[in-house]
Amino acid sequence: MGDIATVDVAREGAVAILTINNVKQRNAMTVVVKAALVPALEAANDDPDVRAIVIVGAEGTFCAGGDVSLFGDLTPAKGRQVVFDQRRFLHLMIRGETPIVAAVEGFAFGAGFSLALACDHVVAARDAKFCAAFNKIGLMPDGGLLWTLPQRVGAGRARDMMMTASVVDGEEGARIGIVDSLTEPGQAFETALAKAQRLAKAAPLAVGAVKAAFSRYPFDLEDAFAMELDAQPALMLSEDAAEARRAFFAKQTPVFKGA
Amino acid sequence: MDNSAPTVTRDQDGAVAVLTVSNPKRRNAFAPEIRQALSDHMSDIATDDATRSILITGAGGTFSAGGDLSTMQDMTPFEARERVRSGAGVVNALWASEKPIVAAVDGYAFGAGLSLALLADWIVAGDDAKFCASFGKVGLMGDLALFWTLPQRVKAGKARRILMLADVVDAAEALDIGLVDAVAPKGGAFEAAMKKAQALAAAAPLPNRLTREALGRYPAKLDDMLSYEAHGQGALFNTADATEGFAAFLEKRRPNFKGA
Repeated sequence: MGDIATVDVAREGAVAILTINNVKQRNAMTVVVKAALVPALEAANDDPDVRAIVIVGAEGTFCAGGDVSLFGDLTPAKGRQVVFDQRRFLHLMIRGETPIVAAVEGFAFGAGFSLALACDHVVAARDAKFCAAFNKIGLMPDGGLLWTLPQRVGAGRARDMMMTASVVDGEEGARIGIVDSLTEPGQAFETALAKAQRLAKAAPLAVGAVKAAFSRYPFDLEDAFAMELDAQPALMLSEDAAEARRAFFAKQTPVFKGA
Repeated sequence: MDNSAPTVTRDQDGAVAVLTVSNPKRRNAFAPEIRQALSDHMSDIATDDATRSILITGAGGTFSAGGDLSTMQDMTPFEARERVRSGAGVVNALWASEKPIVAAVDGYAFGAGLSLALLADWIVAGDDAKFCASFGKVGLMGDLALFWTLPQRVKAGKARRILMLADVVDAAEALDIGLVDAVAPKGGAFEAAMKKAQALAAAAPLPNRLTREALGRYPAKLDDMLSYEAHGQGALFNTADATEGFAAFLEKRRPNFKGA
């Protein structure tokens, strides 16, 4: 692998594969990596032939965190901007309508943990390690973790992980709700790709509507009704819904095209 | 039998303030004196720089059996209202605390005792502990913010069962559903809680203050949290503790945080 930090983009059928490639820094989320994530996600979200995304780290580790070498020189205003700029890729991930699967081997620490939890589905090896490591360097969680982690593990475990920076392995992660699919070491990517291929076969408009609803969490009952009313009539009249009804009565597997 | 008056005692173990709920006549029932004593201790602790974390427990092997029914006789509607309203003061004193709180629960955490435990960041139960939102049994609904804290920890189905049927939850189930964070062998809850309180006391205080405040705003939208984290992190980058944290990380040693 080269010395240049970047995000590699590849395609496998209807699945876009985004590889965080900054091996020298164990795939740390440098300014360069974060900047490269934006066009990669934009292109995947905008391409109607891409129905699912896999995010993975190069060479057996997901992402070891932020770029500590940068932190010492940040003024409050500059620091605020650096963190606020993460919205650019977080919005594309969380508000984008293409489902995203994280494939986690090795470390998902700090910003890497936040990145994994901004995905819809987390696949991890048994020996993968998750940690909201921010407190260890005198910082608070960022990358949306304050919003994502309590949704997955509840208030108690979220507070413990964030406030004591405790390390959770893949197996415990599966038990408490951080990990959705557990694999043997070395198999997270294959499993994530298979999951993404299943998501790619689901009706894309409906998947997008579900993602849009979750991105607005938390909402009250009235908002839930409003979101249904906004999206469901259009879905009912879509070609994909007609195809699903046809296939249901013909006892066939429907083929969706996102229209 | 110990007939001493209801109170909350404070002891200090290093940077950890230990608050012990004591009402020996009524299994540590949450009497008005206890609410007041808790609020008073919390305001002292807020300005005590030597205290970095708080441990709450009950005296005599039980946490708290709930509200004090003996003090609920013959209330007028406005006395009852004032009693519930004053509960918000205790909730606020604990929830808005800038110092993290752990709870060590042995025996019973029933009714108001359950509500009190759920105001802690981290809860350890002795393996004999029993949890119950027993309000319904005496014709009342949950209070002391239980409707807000409980669903943050357990899923909707469990929360409804606990709040509507007043089912008793034992320590093992409590751990399984996320109502508590750890279970200790009988008699070991205090020690486990002290260990966690010491870990929290050694963690960097400023980020944890902001993390606590952010989570205290539950429920919050994505963009509210992204905005909060950017403001908070921006303020933290240049603190002495962050500088110490970066140095310790690069030198592969333990950081020594001062809260500055």
